[in-house]
Amino acid sequence: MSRRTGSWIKAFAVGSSMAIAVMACGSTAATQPPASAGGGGGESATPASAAPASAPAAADACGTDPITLNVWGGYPEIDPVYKAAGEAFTKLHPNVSFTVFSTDLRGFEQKLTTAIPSNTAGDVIVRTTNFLSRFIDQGSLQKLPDDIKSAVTTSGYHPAVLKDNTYNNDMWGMPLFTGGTAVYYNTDMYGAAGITDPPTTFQALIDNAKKTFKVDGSGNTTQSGWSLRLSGQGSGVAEKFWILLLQKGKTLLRETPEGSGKWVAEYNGPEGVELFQMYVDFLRDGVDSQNIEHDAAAFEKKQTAQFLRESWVIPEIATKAPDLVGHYNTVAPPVGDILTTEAMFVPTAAPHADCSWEFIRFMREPAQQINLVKVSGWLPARQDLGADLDAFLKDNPTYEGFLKKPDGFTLTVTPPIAEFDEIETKLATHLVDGYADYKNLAGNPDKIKALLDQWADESNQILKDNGHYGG
Amino acid sequence: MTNPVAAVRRVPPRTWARYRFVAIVLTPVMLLFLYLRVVPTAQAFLMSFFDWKLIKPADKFVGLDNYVKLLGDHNFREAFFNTTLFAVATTIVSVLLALLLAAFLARVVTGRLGGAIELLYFAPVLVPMVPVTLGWREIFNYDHGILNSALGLVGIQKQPWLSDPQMALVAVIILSVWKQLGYNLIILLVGMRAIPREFHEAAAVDGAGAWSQFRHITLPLLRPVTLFVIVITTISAYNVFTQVYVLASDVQGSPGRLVRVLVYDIFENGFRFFKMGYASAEAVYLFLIILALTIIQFRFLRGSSQ
Repeated sequence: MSRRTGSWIKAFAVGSSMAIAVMACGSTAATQPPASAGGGGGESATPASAAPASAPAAADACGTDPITLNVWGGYPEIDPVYKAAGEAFTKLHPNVSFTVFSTDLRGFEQKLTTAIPSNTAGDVIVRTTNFLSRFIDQGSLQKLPDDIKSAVTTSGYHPAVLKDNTYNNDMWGMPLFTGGTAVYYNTDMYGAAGITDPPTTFQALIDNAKKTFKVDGSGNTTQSGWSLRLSGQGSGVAEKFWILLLQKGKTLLRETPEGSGKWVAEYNGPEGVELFQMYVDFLRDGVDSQNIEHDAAAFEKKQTAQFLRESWVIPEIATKAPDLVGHYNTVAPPVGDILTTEAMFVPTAAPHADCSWEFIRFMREPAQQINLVKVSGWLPARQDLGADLDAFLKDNPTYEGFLKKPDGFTLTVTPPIAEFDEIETKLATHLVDGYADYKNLAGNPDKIKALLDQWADESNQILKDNGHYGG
Repeated sequence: MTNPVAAVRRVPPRTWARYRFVAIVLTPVMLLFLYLRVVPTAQAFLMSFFDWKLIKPADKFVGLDNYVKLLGDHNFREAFFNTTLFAVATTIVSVLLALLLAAFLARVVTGRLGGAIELLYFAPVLVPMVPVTLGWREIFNYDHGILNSALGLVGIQKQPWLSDPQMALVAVIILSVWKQLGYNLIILLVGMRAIPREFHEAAAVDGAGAWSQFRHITLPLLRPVTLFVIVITTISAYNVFTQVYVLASDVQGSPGRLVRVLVYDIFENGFRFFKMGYASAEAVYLFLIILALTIIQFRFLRGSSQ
């Protein structure tokens, strides 16, 4: 008995030692994202009603007690806009101060997934309705107050913006800015290749890419004709594929029938095959290469003649590559674009919800909307800015590709289904694999078709699992 | 047959006092361990049988559905393949290199120079993984990376370390071996230095050469330490995450490719797709894989040692 007890004690002691060791080793892995600097809505939160708030009188909304509003967003370049707006707001409400938190978009989304359910998110959250739809389902976000909803839906916003911000037939966030795309093209490289006109058709984009790429003596690409999105985490690779697919009149997921809430993958049709083939053919022919810089960095370093991106690149070029200013221009994609709208939300548990909504009303004002594009380059969601926007465009003609669209230009919004991100992210993973296998796939449409069908089956299966398949 | 009550009564009071002391000092730690490790692990097992969303727990009991679905999941299969390849390569290379270096440092280079070399190899262990990986990302850069420049000097073509699927995995292995080597080296070196010199001296008197001594004295006596190093390296390798995450992060402006590994896939399913039940099932698979490998390694190495 005593031997057994001794063994038990030994086992207990060994177990405890292991526990200490494991806990010591695992401490970093178990670290949770930190809460906001100001504590967010977590401290002595007074749950607000999820029902639409009425518009309180401006003076009452923030009261007189000291309040700190935490604004959370996923685009650090917009921080100065929030800070400037916060300072202007504080002049109207001296008891209100602001903290602004932002990080890269993926990190921000991960932070939101833990902060919103645990009531530790900011007082104002800026993200898309599509991403936040899961939290709306959980009652974690407040509905848009009636007065803001009325102002937004009555006039001043593109119907696609309203559609993108509608979930379960209601609105929850106030549209702040949009993420449209344009073609950036280097006019010097175009000129050197004898190209005089901007690329206004998809075929022109292809032709210009083939005319402008350069290779060295070993056949390695040193300047791409078109910097395609070939790699990266998350869904961006699929999103760029989607934008190009729109130029061919097709989309990633088609609602079938229209308005039914049921969807089916459409990217595996002949247009999808053609587009994928363009990617791998470009890689085979050296028009683009996986081994050189891509995206904005490539354009700023003059290593590509053209690429598609949002408007934030314009102020970045002014800062990082000032010698490029005046040597590039933008033009709208030929046929259509994806429209994503970042909106301002208030969590249900926000302790100063009335004041948060008051700040959101303030951000809707024309002066703040114009400041948004001036400082960050992101496009204001409001379109009724009239002379202010015209004057801005006159002073900043490189925004033309974002603010002037050709006739018949269509805007497509993200399907309002929570699993879309999973579909898009998984497709992005497959596309990256496919592009890497370009030597095997270039010039082989049958193989490409088989791959796209396989990926589309996976997309459709995810839709089925979530009850949204319409095939 | 001994009466248990009588046996308990025979335990001297002083021993009982010791038992009580041990129990008192260990209880808080055990409770913490229970709360921080055992409960979450048990909960992961439980969640794996549910359609459990990150913000909508215990939605629906699905039995083994998550486990079955995972077997057909392309991402999981790719992650499993990559992780296994990574773990096998990292373990073999880092343990073999550490063994050779340890033998070199234990027998050939000693004194201050030996200490300096030990410090040099151990330094990467002390540096956090994120800045180290950012540095390696520059080293692996296709255009201006030092590795491709060095290869160019000996007439080897530039390698797409970060964009080619196979080379990206090789890049992660190189980085991880570099990071792990110092730790393995120190443990093996301590083990080698603990072997009494008399064994080697006796063998030398009998005419055994250096290789023969290493093979018939050092390796057998070092087996328990080697087992520890192999198990720790394998577990660490199966949990690889930071390197692949950082190597492929923010790659929009630079060439880079994500090497899908199990922990990344778990992270993505749980925190990006909100499928905690599914991610938990994947974590259970990972747990079972590591458990099985550890048991095999223990059996194999301990068995041959006995």
